[in-house]
Amino acid sequence: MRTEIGLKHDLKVIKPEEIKHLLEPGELGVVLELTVTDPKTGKVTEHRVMKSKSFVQQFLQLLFAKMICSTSLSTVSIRDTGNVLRNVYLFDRGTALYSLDCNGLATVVTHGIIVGTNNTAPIITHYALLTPIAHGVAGGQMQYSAMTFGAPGADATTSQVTLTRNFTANAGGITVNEIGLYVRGWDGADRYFMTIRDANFGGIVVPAGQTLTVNYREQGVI
Amino acid sequence: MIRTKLILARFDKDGQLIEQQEQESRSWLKHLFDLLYILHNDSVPLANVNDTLGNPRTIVYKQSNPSNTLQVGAPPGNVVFPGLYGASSVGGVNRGENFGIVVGTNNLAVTPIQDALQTKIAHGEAAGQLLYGGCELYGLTFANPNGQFTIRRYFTNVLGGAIAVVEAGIYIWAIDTLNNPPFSFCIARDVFAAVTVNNGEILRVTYVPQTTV
Repeated sequence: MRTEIGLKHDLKVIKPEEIKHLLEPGELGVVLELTVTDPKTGKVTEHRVMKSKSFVQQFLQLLFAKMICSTSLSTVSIRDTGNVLRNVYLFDRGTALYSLDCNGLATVVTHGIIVGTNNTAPIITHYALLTPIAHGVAGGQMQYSAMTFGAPGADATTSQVTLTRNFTANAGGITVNEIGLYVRGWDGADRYFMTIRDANFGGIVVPAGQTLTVNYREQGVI
Repeated sequence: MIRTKLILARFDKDGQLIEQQEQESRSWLKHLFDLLYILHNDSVPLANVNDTLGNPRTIVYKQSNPSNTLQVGAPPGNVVFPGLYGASSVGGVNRGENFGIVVGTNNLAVTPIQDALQTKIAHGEAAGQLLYGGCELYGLTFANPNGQFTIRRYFTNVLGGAIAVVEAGIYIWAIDTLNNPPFSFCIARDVFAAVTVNNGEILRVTYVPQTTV
């Protein structure tokens, strides 16, 4: 079964009353929302909202390096998803430089939200999903949509920005046990870094033809 | 999950610690997420983001002029950013006092949509002013399941009379779609019990973001 996957990037505005509050005051973190939908009926077959617990080492390294700034290659060596240490540019100019870009297009598995099947608990030095699911229409694969982004918003206590991706299961269905956020950097060539890895959420079964929507909501609470 | 410590320390003119207070920072404002949006979303601009002067800007991650979205590291208060940044000066905004950790005298409660400190203390030697040192970042360390780094700045009261500091924040760098760097944006603001910095004394403000898997 093949499901159409969108290429259009929508700017969705989240209303303040729709912001979900799971973080404690003072926390800068991520809320992970998982929704399984049957596109034939439009029915939501599963929905979970939880704290993402797992900024990994590369996130703090990229944040640190961005905040320091460098007009040349960063002195911070950051392990990419291929297990190679990279010193990326953090100076933004022209069209080639990236540092936290996760705007993956449909079918792209190098950056954006990525899903996998391994439920090993995260540790801070994880640099990639342990068993990522490939894009494709075969069994054991999923069809990756383009990333979309909700416009930043805030209510009285919480600010956020939302990153979203849809994944459609193929024949046989699949169980997603790990989810990560990969971003793109640049050191003369595109490099990719995992900034978040979540596992241990009990796995989520996506039956054949159904779509898993993953929302990562980066939030700060005053 | 990241939690952030805010540490305020006051020293006498000989560098001896007089007082220190530590609290959990509850400071991250919406503009941090505005900046993360344009970084994540590559080349898509975001309109109506107010800079620290209250002017709405359409910010973008990449332009032909140089930028470094999210830059916190800064030179001392009256020093213009060197090199390409200095060449891009617009109205003197790119001096060190407009980026990095800043302090002020107004303890109005924090809300997520504030654009700046309420009453920022200017860099200088006159009454009501403080000398801003450089804003430095250091100490990036990891020991599973934790990681952290430190952002720090010193403020010296040369002869301005006693100043009661009650707010601190972080200003960062971004550019707009008109290719006009730099503008500063406030991504964090905290209020706290007053730290009174007398003539000749030094205030050290430290933010320590810490993550735990």
